[in-house]
Amino acid sequence: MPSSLLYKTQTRWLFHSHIKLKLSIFYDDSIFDELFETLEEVNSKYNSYTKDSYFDLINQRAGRFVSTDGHTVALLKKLITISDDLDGEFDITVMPLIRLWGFYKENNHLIPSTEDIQAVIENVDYSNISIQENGNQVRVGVKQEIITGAFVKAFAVDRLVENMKSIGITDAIINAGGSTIYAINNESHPSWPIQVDEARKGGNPLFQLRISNECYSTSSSENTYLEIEGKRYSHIISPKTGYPSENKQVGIVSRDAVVGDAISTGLFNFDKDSFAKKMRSLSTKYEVEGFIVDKNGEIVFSDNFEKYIV
Amino acid sequence: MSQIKKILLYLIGVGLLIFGNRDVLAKISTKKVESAEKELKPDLKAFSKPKDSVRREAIKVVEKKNDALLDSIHAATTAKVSQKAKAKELKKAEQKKKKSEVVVAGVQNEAEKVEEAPKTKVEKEEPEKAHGTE
Repeated sequence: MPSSLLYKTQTRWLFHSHIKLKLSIFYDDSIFDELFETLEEVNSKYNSYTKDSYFDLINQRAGRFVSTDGHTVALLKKLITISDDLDGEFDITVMPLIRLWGFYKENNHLIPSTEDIQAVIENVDYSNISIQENGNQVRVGVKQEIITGAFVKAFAVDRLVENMKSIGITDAIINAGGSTIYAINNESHPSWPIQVDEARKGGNPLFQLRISNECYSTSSSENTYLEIEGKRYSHIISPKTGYPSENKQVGIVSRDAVVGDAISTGLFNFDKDSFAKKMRSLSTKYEVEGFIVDKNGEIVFSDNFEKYIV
Repeated sequence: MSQIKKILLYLIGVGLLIFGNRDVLAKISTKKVESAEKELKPDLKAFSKPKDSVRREAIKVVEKKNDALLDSIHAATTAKVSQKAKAKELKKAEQKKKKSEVVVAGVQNEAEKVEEAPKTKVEKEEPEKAHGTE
């Protein structure tokens, strides 16, 4: 039964995405400035695309230790654990491969040679990230580069949720670019609906979910891909093979946006059978459920995902 | 000259003085003096002629100088006036331009503000679209 409550919404452009906040109509408009400020702070301090952010400095000074802060260290430790749990299919040092495939070139896109892929893949290894917790020092290997695209928006959402809860907001939803959606609920409004469609423009509806104090994260290749010799290549590249995944979509429900975004990215590189198996171990450790639409359009749900479908 | 004529001339002179026609009065009084001089001292003409001509020449010179001076003053004043007018016009034009620039800038700023200012909308609970395209 849909709620009849009224909400105020504001949408702003951050992290190369439209970020929409929706909260009770009783709040003054000025609250949006305060809330978006949290996101802007994360963007300036932790986005690798922001000049002189912690991750930009780590990349600039590859091979040397860089002073960061406690959040950077905690975040890196969490991401390294998830990478371990995903058998290395999620790796924040994948940037050299993304460059090799030409995602930062305007034209002349070519399929890289196997030799080039093998040469670059040697620099893709999250286990080379060194952390000295005493002093929050972080170092990546020479020729390594961290890309924050798969987690910085989710990190900002987690920080925002924390901030919203601390100021007493108990009914709200954050839609960060359609790929990270966090629902905050109370007893009078126990869940928020989310519409999941096929991962293509004008795609058919797949199903509607209802989530409560949880995040829905999704990865797809719809808008970020390369077309080489008439074939589309996804921006999600397997750090182990060096080739883009051919799956169509992965959706994950989690309690923590960083966990959800990282897992949905990593599982995008799994086939449907290994996805189902991996989800069993992940759901026990992280309280996550999800689904995958593979390259043939086949949908596989994790064991308890269907409880979210309405 | 009879006394009546003299009285009449005097009255006319007084009348002219009252009505301010000094030139006529001057002519009359000069004639009167000249005729009186002719009558009393005819030799004085010989002495006064060169003096008058010298005076006239001097006056002419002074007048010429004055005219030249006046001309130069006039020219300078005209130049100054035209310069001032030009400066004023320029200033006005600049002010007008600045004003129009301010207006344009203001309009642009307002437009930017409109674009920049986030709009608050009111919505009910509607399904958020998940697409993973951004």
